[in-house]
Amino acid sequence: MITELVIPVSAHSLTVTWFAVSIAVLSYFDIAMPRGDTLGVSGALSAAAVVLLSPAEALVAAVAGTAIALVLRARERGGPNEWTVLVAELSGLTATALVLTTGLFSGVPQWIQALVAACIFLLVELLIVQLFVSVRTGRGYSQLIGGNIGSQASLLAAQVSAAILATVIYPRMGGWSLLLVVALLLLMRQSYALLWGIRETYRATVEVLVEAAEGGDSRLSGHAERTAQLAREIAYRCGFRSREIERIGYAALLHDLDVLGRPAPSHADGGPEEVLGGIGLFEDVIPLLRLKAGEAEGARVKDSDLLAAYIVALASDIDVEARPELKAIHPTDTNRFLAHVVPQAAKAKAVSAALHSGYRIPAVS
Amino acid sequence: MNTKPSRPFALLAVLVFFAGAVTLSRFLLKDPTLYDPELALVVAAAALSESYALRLRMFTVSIAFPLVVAAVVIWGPVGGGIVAAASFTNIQEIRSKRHFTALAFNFGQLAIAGCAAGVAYMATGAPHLQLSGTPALPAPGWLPAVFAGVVAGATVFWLFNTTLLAAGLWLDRQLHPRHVFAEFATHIPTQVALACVGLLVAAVLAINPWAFPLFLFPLFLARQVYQRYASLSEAYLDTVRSLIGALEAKDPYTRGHSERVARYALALVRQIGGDSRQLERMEGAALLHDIGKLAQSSAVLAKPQSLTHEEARKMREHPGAGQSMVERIPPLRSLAPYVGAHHERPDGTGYPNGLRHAEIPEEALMLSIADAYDAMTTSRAYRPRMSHEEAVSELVAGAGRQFDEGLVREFIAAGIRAEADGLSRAPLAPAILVLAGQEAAQ
Repeated sequence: MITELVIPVSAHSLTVTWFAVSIAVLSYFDIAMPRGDTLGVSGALSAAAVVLLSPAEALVAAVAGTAIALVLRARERGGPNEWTVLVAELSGLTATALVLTTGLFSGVPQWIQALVAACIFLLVELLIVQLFVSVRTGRGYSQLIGGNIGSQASLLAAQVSAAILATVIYPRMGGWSLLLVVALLLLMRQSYALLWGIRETYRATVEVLVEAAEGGDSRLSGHAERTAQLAREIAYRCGFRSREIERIGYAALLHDLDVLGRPAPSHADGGPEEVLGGIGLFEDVIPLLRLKAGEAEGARVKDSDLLAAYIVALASDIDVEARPELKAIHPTDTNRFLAHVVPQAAKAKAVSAALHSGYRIPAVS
Repeated sequence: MNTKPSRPFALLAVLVFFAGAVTLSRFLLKDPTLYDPELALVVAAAALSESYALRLRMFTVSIAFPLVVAAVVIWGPVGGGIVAAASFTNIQEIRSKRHFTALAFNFGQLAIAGCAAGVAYMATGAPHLQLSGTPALPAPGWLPAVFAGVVAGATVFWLFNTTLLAAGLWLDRQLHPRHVFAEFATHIPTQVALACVGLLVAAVLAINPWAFPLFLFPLFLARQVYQRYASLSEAYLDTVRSLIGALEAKDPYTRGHSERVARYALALVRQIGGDSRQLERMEGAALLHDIGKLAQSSAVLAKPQSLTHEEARKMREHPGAGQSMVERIPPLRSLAPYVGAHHERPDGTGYPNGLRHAEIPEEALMLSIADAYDAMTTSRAYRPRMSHEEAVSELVAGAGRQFDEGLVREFIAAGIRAEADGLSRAPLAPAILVLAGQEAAQ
């Protein structure tokens, strides 16, 4: 088994080159994520390479391709963290090759081998990359894995499909077929990149506008952004998934918007719909803001929404408590409506998450 | 939308429908051996894909295009025509019995485009994978051999598809064809990638038709994600408008200012013949031009007396502050110079940098006029509003010094009036038409 892994790259150097170039192209276009990991689609071809070439050839192709892409990207972006991708790639390939050379899969159709190879490769790659992220950011490993599988399940499944497609057409068409698979994978990658970009644009826009609005009162300056950061941190520790964390982050960022946009600032009147109503992106944020403002009394509310609103209020209070000048103009919310309706266990979870993050908690009823 | 199609469009639709039906029939009669189960599979996928077409601003982009390419490569003109025509079917549209004229138009133009693509493919001498029941599996040299054919076929398909759509939109909604071509141009890279996917489909169908569903999943995933992007992208300026409006509400004197400035500036861009990209840029810049002012104290903004030296100095910092803020929003970065220069004057006496005429971007010069006009025609804490005529006289008086002379003339020629409703943001075409390459959105 091990000997198969170290068989020198044979005369198929052109084949190896085809795979290396294709993997390099795909890896070059990996999308850099904020936590230091990347969203890529080259795994499909790496997995197909293990099935279609010898393990040694697959290793050379994948490592060379990834390394070329990383060198080119490092010049542009200077991201040393991206080298973890290479380690993950190596680990994935080794694990896949080890499994496929056990003899269990001899005589099994290539497309089934590709299915198994892609699943193993992508899983190992995910485990390794998230291990690095966990070590670097101090975030829970299992939670990172769960979150990633949840948010990327369809992308992973699409890569498995692409890996099988590559093994179906490669034996007949040769290296040229990889161009077509690359086009399909780039199409997927491009869609994700565009979606990611527009979400970032929304986030940046809201941050800039809220910051501009806060600028009118130096005491408020930076409160929304700090609250959003805190709320995201607490929500993460409470086990919320990435989409929910994004929603909580927006709610925190906008929690004072109705006040900022009012002719005579007052925390006593008005609701968030007045300001945010009609903005599609914030439709699911408004219920949280209403809850936080104590406007949902009597309504049937999901426990997770109550906890989310409580986290926003708690994050705001933590920031207010730490700044006396802010305390003079900004009320604390957690002692009011939410403190009564949020289940004790949920409150304890949020407070404990905040304490674990090292924040001083204001008095909570 | 349930609008009745215009008479010229209805006439065109009838012509195109019959032309498409005749073209398709001729090719069908020439090649009666088309009973491959794979063709039925591709036709079904094309018909299904129409219900999942991407809804964009002006059209929708159908993901049936790769299927058309595959059909052209495998079955030639008749395959291209049948599969393209099949993609006109949108079950929801047919059920709702809406846009019958548009459906007929789409059937015809897609059939023509599909057949034409097949003819162009064959004209290059590119080989077919499977014709008249004789399978010809792709070999290692197959891709380079069909490359020229696919390029020719795809180009001809886009040409017919886009030209006929442009004609339809022009007759039905008076939308200038250049807008349709400009919109299509933005999707060329995606269309090229989709053409490659079409070749992949063809190869998979010829080698192992059972693997066909495997390609559908990644493609539908790409479509799903892209649709979310497109929805967010289209709603972006509306979101900015809503948020700016909400934040401006803190000053009763500037409430709605950015929205109005955007309307005036857009009317001015239309007057000088600006294209859709210029309009989009101007709308963004106008909505954000006073973002730096939001950071000013409400007390200063609403002060009825003259500002102190210090207050005036701070107020003059707002274009620069706004420019820095806009620079932080990646896709709007190109608008930052317009925001930063909207108080500059051609004679060099403006702020913050005292730029002279040639150094000021044209968009900033336009913003300056729209901004000044709105400021003059609305009440401020320190003075009542002026009439339209008074404001125009002020613009004329400042032409050449405070404002660009030519743009002031265009502003007046545009017939802009403060109270006019006709200047509301003109939506890009609403939807009727359906295309495989593109279709008008619902």
